Amino acid sequence: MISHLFICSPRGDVIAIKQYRDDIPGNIPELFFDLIKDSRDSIQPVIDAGGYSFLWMKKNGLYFVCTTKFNTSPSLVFEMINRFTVLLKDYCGVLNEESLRLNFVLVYELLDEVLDFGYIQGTSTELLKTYIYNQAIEIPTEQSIFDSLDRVVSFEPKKRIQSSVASAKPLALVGPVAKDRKNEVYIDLLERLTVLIGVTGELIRSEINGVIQVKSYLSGTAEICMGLNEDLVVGRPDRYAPVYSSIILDYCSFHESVLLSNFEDHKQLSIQAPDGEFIAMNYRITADATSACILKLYTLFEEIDNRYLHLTLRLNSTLPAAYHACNIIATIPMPNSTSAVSFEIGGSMQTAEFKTSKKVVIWHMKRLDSGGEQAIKIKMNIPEMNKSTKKEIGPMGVEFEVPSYLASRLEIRNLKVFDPRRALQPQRWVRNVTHSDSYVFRIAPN
Amino acid sequence: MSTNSAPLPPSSEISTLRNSLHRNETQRDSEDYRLTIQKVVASMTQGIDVSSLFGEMVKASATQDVRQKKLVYLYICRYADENQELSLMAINTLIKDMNDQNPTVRGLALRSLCLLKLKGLPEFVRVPLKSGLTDKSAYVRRVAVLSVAKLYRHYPELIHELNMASFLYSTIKDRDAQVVINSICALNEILAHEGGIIINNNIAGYLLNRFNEFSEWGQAVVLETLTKYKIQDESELIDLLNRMDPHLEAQNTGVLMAVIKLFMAIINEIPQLQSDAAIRIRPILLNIASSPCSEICYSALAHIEILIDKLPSLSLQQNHKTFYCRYSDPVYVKVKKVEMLAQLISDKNMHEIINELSEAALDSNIEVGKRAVNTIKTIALRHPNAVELCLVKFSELLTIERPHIITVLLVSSTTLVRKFPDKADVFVNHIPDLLQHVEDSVEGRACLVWLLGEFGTTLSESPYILEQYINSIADETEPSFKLNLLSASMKLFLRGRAPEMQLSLGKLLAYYIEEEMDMDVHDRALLYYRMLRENVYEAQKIFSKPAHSPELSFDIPTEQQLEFNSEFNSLAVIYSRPSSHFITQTPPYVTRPYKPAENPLDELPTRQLHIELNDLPGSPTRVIPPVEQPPLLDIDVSEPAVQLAEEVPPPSLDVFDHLLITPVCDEKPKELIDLIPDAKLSSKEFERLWRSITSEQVVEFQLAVLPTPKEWKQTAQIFNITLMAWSPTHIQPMKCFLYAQHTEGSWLLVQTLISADKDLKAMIRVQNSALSNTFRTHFKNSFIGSWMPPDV
Repeated sequence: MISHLFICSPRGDVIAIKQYRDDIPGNIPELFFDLIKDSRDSIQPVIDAGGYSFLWMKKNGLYFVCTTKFNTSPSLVFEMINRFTVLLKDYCGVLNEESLRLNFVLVYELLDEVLDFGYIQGTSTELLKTYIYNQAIEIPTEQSIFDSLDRVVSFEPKKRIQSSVASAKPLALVGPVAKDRKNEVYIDLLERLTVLIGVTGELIRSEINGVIQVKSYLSGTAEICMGLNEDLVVGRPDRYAPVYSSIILDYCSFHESVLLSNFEDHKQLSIQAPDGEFIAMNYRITADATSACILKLYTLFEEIDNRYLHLTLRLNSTLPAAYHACNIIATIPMPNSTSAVSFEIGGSMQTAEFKTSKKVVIWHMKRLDSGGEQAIKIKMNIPEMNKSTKKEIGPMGVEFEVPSYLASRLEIRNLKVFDPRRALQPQRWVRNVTHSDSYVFRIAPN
Repeated sequence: MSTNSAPLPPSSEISTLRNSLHRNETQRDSEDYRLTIQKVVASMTQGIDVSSLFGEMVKASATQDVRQKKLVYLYICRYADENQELSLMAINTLIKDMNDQNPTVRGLALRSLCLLKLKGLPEFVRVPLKSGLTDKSAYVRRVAVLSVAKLYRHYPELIHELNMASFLYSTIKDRDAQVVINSICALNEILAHEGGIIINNNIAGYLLNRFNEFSEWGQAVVLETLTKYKIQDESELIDLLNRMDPHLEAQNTGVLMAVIKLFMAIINEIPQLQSDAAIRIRPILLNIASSPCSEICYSALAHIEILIDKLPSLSLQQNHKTFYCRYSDPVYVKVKKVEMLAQLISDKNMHEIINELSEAALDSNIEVGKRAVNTIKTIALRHPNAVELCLVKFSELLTIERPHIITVLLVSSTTLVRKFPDKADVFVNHIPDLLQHVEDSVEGRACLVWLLGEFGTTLSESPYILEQYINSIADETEPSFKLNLLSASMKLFLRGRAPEMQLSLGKLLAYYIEEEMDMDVHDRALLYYRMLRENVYEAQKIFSKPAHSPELSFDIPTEQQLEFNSEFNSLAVIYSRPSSHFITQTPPYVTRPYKPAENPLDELPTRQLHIELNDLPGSPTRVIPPVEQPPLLDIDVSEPAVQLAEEVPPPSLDVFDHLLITPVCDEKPKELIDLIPDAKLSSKEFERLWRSITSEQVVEFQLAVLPTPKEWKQTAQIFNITLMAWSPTHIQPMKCFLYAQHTEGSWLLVQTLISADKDLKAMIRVQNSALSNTFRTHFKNSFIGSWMPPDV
């Protein structure tokens, strides 16, 4: 049972607030900001405020906050907030302060329908259409390309995967626009990589988390049929039993609109696609996900005069031909006593800088082709070098994105849309992207 | 409609709006009219007071445009309680709207109507509510059902009069799924004092049959409700499990957690299902633990932490890598993961996990680093075969320049060394290199000094390091450090480094005896001085005994026992506190599950609210509506072992020093009164006894030092008095409950209040009044020597 749901800008301005139960007095947003302002970094998403709790998350730079006086399920509340942000995006087109302010009437309509007296009534874009009367006011498209697939990219600053301009349009749900709405469906296959590679290049941990995300502008009666790799296997009964398949999912789950009658035999998903954005399937692969290791690192240390430490890093791509990684940002912590750093950069399209305050080197590469290599020599000037100085270097976190590629080799083999009301097949857009979630190399020598 | 009395900052703006409203009023449904209204509401949401336009706004609700109506309702609900008279007008409009063609309008009108806080609302609302509950539109019925819960809050008698409870039991059979869910929610509120909706096998079966119709949120509600249901026979169980199974593939973690909670409730009844359930649940937990949404991940981790203990067959040990920190994890997730790794230790992965933790100790975030070090320590304390590896890791970490973790490393190492003294060498040899890093940390320095005193006899530098500190004693302020310095110097002096220590020890003793303001330090110095003066050899004998004792047990923090079945999948898990500690809401807003009474007498309305202290800290408090007397034990349950993870026994409370001091200060107290050593009394019993004894003695005295509950508990134990419970130390006055039992069998009870000014007030109630005076003296004696100077 939720008492408040409100949206705040990062400065603390309330964009919309709805009080559902009227049982917590006071200026709640102000109290909330007092609590979080001092410890933005480490504050937890659930805060006991004395008699009631705040549950909050930050999305696209906005704070979404719930209060409750009850011993509610935190998972449920966070799922609700998540779902609410998707609703806002579906109805308003983009999720940012400008768009929400412009569409505040719509936002209040949604707030009014999603919860009643603190009980969740429904968050389905499709079902809410009946009760929502206002239309979205679109903000200029220049802005809207910044709409990111934030549900997949978990972290605020990382807004690197952008959905296409087209899919950032609000759903035209009511009024005259509804008639000539576009007959389109966007399907994104997104995989996040979690890889940890030890000093000697050994793979300590690897994991692929993937989603099939659908954004449908179809009429709501359409059925999307999606065929996946036929040799897909879900679950492994015994960790060591051999399974003869190219893709083994440890686990997968499906959206409620997905019918699985053909999944077991033909790996077909049929989706009674509701309007709006939703995740049709998500899956997780661990095992020996060696396919997740698409970058390799070679390091070389040179000590000169007990004053200079040179570190050469060579980053190699083991991606199959025709694929490339792009927007690669490597962050390498330097020893605390480093006084200055200079670089020797091999290869083109890369830059490096040393952030003195944080003692980290940021190495930025635009692109790394299949089989290619980018290298850098970091020359550290360390006045007081001792035997443990080297151990302070690293670990190196790498962020990147591989367009049109899925590390797991999952694919949509066929895709059909059956719409009884339309003869023509709608436009179907499919996009594959793999990106790093936590791709880490340890480089400090033992 | 002149309401110009309200002084409004942008008055010109308000009058522009008012004019605009008047101008457009004639064309009721024009676009301009709606836009003006939208402007008013926009001002309202930005915090501008536009209440003076109430009259105009109420008029504007007479429209066919639903968008416009919604805006006006939003406005009315915001300002209605400020304008009682005008609200009457609004009520009429709303009631009229209850007859609108459009179900959305009817629903909205009813919802808004029930939100108004008006005198006499029950009279107005009666008819609309009834018609809403039987409306042909599901939307209106959904609103109406929840309106019952809304109205119950302010007008419970109305709801009882309309006999809504039985009506809502009938709407559970509604054909609309959301109406069913709302009925359950509303019943849980209006029947809160009886423990909410009652689930018999009919309702349970019915809900299961319709389970797939409910939205995911509805499913969560139903699952929560079903945990209250006791399964009757095996066929029912199999049916339930089969129906639940597909929902373990749900995406909504709230639903998943609710399913797991239900499974756990079943396992509780039928333990042999445990391993099957564990196999089914494991992949799901692992998947949520790597959720891209940090908040959901965090919540899941807290729940998994509990499940690891409750469901050993989960064997997440083989998946420990899922709980390694990720680069992109926020601090709170990293901290949680680091802490959990201690639980995931097995013989196979011990090495890997300790390695991983020592990497995490170097995390750029201080908090993560500290937690990682603490977790390594916890692992070593729990698994003696890991001690060596942990100590090696600590000594490696100590050489890396990370000033912020040096203190915690030293404190942790000291703890380990103290328990495993044969492994001390690794550290002691490092001490000279570490001095520069602990300059800013008193605690770190205290640890170093303690280590030097205890193990430094073989290290050539030790006397000189101490000498350095002794030369700057005037700059030290922290008594804990001073005490350590004092005992370390004594130890070195008496353990074979006398020639090097004599001068500086003399200087130290002289300074502390002459100049020191802190009584503890001064007294200790004086004591040492006298020991040395009386008999050096005797002193040497005392000091040559090593202070560390391998038997020494450091309590490992155990998870607070939450009442698992009712508190799983709730905030209690996140806070790791029973909900009674942070939920303050009173009826009718009870959501905590109701526990059936053990005996019918318990149902008497005059019963006291009570917290079952020692036996069941996690059990949800039953809240019985009319609490006539303030509850007796209205304090938090303190868990002595709980915070030990952070507070390593600080070096100042040196075990050695205790051994030394205790026999000197208080030899076995003179027995005034014969008390049974390990008397046991439950908190319930205590409360009952306390109420049964009416005569009370009050004794008040001043303490010199505030006792910490832990010390006090130990000391009182010597006097055969048991400290049963205490309020959190930060709450003033501190409230404590103690008891003792006389050898003849009668009980002696004490309730004390200690104020921040160290005034102690004790209320003593004894069963045998003949013992009253002697017990009072005995009780007071228990403070003398520890927290009170002897009576002059």
